[in-house]
Amino acid sequence: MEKIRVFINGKENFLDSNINILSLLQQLNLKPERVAVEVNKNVIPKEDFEEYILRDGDKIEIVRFVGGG
Amino acid sequence: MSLSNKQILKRLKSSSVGIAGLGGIGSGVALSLARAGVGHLVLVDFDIVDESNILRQQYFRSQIGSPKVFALKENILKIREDITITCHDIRLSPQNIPQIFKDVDIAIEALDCPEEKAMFVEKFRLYFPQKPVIAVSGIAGIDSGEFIVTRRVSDNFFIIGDEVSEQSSDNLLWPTRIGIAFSKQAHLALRLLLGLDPI
Repeated sequence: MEKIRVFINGKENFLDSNINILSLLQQLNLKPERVAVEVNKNVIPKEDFEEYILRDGDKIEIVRFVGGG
Repeated sequence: MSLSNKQILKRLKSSSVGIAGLGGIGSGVALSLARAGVGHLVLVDFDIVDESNILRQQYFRSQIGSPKVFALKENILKIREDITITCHDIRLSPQNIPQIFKDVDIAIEALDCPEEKAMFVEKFRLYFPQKPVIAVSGIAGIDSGEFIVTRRVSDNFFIIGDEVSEQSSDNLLWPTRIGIAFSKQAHLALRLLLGLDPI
């Protein structure tokens, strides 16, 4: 399968092309309702995770929220 | 750039910071910012002071049962009276965030539950892309305080913590470790208000 090269929290990663954010989060074992995701400095709302297709060169930032405050 | 103490105090006096959640983190940030001279604080929490809060949050035993927003306002006013405090005794929702935070310069995310933290940050970032938000994640447990670090996720989005250490029955919040987190949050807020390099 064709791969795309992206950066997740600054680290180089190779992902299947046409992968969406929801699938990426599942691969990383992260719950979509407990993260903040930005792609190329744009905030991606949770309701767009499934339809947002990642592209070669994307800079993805994922913040994992855990309980405690 | 170097600022005189007078310039710093003048700028802080005309600044406004909104604090979402008044537990160990939010109550600590509020007192630090009040002591530093921030002129306006917007406090938001729906909870009341519980006995279990007293050992790590900025409340007193006599305040058990009181809404946190009013108890914290009372404690801040005992330290200084030349401060404006706006209280919202309410649970934050996607609908009320724009109204509550419209006049603040910076938001502090200090909520407890991970879903609410994520919701708040997402909505605040979408409504107010030009305003900084400083969030916390991963502050529980007795691990080294050196793992409580600041990450600049985006120009106006900062996260403090190790992003892993979750609060649970065997991973408690310790006043010392959360103190590191809320002091970093408060100090970063001051630097941003003063237009200084954040990190």
